[in-house]
Amino acid sequence: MNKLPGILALLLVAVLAWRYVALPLPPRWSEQEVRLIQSLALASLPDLPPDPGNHLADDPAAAELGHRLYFDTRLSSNGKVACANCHQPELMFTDGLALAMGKSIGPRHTPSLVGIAYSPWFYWDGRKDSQWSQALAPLEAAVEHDSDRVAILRLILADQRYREMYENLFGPLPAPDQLPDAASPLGNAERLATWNSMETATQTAVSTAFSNLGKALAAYQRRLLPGPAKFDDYATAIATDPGTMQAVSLSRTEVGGLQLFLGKAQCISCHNGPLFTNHEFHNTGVFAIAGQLPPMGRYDGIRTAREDPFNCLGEFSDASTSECIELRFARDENDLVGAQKTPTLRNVTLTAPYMHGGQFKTLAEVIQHYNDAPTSMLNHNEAKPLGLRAIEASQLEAFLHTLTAPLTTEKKWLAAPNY
Amino acid sequence: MRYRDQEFNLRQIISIGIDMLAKALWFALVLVTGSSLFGAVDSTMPDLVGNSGDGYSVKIFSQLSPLEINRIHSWHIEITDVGGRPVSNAQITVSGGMPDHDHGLPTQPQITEEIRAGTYLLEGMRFHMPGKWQIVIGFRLGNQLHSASIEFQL
Repeated sequence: MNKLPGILALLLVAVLAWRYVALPLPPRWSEQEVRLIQSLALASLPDLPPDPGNHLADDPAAAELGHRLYFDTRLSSNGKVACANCHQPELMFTDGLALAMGKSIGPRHTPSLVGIAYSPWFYWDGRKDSQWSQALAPLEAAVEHDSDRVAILRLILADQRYREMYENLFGPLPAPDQLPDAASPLGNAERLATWNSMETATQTAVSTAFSNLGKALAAYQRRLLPGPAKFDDYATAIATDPGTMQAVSLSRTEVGGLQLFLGKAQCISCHNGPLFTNHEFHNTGVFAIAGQLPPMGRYDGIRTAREDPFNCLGEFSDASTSECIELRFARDENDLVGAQKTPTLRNVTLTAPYMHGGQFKTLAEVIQHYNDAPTSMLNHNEAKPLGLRAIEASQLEAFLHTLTAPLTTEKKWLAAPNY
Repeated sequence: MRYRDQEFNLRQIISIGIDMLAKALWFALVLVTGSSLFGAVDSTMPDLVGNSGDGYSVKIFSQLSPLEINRIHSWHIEITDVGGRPVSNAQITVSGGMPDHDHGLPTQPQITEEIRAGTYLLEGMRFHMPGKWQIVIGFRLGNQLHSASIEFQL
């Protein structure tokens, strides 16, 4: 009987050690691990892919017009909402909120814009297939800018500088005497009725000019690119001695987290490549946003993208059919129900909360979610429980904090224009 | 006889000359117009190879080589029969996925053209995870269905 406390104490020590003591690291990375580490490093990032739908994507004057539009609250119906309200430069172009706050509260969490020009799809459900087309939607969304394409063109016509910048890039704007005050095919009943009363040629001229503003906004947002972080220094350091784990750039805890990231925790399955995302859609069993039904995700997103008049194949795109490969060969099957886009993990320290509805406040909660891999509310969870010990979860979290660094983007683009 | 021999030699020389000239012309033609005449120049070594199990062979020449993740690209798929002859007019379907992850391809690739006899253009291929992938090339010839399954590591 008097042995029992001793046995219990030993047991307690064993349990605590199992949960909280890190396993020793092997002295060297395997060849496969070295290959994966280099594939994640920013040095492996290819040049920015062209945007064939936007012939001015890399035009500096278009980027300057886009920069001004991005920070301009006059593009909203209440004069208070700009793109920069939700995509704030100081928070890596996110807003720190669970759900976006435009004119009113929105249905989704604001994703970062950094490096997103590499993605073939936009929005959590991928319902837009280009950055320029995406940029148009918030302007007319009731919960965001709540404006409309005609009202916005009237602003461009009335503002001398905007008008000159626009016409130098895209040619003449529609004449103001042909335009009502407000109209849009996507607007409220009043705006829609006015839109339907307009001549088809005027509608097309308005939508063309509106799409050009999206192209200017995209030319600006394409320039928001990540900078090398502590992890990238580590990747460079081990590149000269590929097998070694020891490099001053990362602590032992962080290196342990990296090893889990590549292996046991399987993060690299989806968070792969130098932007730590495969730009794809996965159902990972994240619970529905409070007060909302579980979303259909990519299953609906691809259908919306195909019907979008501003898609790659549409009349406002500058791309040829052969350049619209992603849209033409996109998958739409049932397993995409409830699938959301993999976000980048670059700068993840500054982009809390997390997931499509900001469901998790901290990275620790995100890791716990993947460790549990709960049953999905809709369809099935692609992820399986990981069996991470408490110490492993904290190692992984420590590694995730090595991915944050100032952008490589020129400083003038990271604040409202003052030139 | 001597005269005849000389004549024969002359003929031989002319014949060799014509032969060489033809070869040179052919070589120049291939060199200059190679890619446009014969489609993209595939390297002789395919990136992936599979067999249908009933005598057909499938060779895949990726237009993104070596294969890598997260980049959409095209494949040239060459199908030959048991005698090594190209198989034309096949109705081809391509499917696949990651058997260990219980999911399919991220895209819906399609054959858009038979670029030359027995060689087909597949557009819209993309892989989005490192690991083991399986691709199944199914093809219909008349009423017969055949398929070749290919596994590889990315």
